[in-house]
Amino acid sequence: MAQSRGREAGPSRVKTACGARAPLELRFASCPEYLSLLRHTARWYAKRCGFDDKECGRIVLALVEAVTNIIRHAYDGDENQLITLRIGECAGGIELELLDQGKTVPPCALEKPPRGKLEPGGLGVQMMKTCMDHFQYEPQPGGGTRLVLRKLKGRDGQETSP
Amino acid sequence: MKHKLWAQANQACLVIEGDIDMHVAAELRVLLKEAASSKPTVLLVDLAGVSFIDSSGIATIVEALKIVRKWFGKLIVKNCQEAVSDTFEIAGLTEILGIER
Repeated sequence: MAQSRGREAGPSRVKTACGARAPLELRFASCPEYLSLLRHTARWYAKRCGFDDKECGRIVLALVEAVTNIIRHAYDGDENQLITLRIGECAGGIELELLDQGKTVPPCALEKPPRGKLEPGGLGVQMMKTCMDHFQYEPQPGGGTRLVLRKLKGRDGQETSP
Repeated sequence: MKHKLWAQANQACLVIEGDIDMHVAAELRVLLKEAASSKPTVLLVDLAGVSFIDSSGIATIVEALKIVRKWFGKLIVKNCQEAVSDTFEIAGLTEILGIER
């Protein structure tokens, strides 16, 4: 019997031989208009990795904050620079890897005063660290930065590296 | 991002529909300034139609709060969806912004 067309791919069709979900890579211009597309993509992937709605929301928030920081600080708002996003399933969770070729801005330079203060700006790094379990920031030898964010299923986010 | 703005007596209300991120933060800033222009005692920001807000949106709302505080006014964020409430909580601003669900 023929299967209906347009049906969503089942899990077995997007997994690698070792059982992990196949990674996804997106290369896009540093344009804020793409944030909406990134939200939908990350939510789709996180949902299929088994995260619940709240966790998916936090993964999406961390990704948006990371990309916003790249656009605003690494590229000074230039909308025509390249950003690469890799989303993959890691042991017990999800990993987001972001690569840019812009200015290196250490996260400590972007961090906010203690919670509850009415000072706009600098919230993004704090939010990423709260939403995710692992935050790793690596300036690249040839220029640019690699940022790795990981979240494990069933755990509240917490900072695990500076 | 869609919006409605109304004002009566000492209250103004800005109703937002759509996600709030860096892409629309500048537009939101203009709308909030317009909402605050009549110097309302209470400025309501209704986020029932918003399913996502990031730090750019939160910073913009905080700016509006600072404006209304100049005449001892209040800014109240109301009808937040669960994900939006969670974001305000992560930012540690739930009490300061007078979040109402």
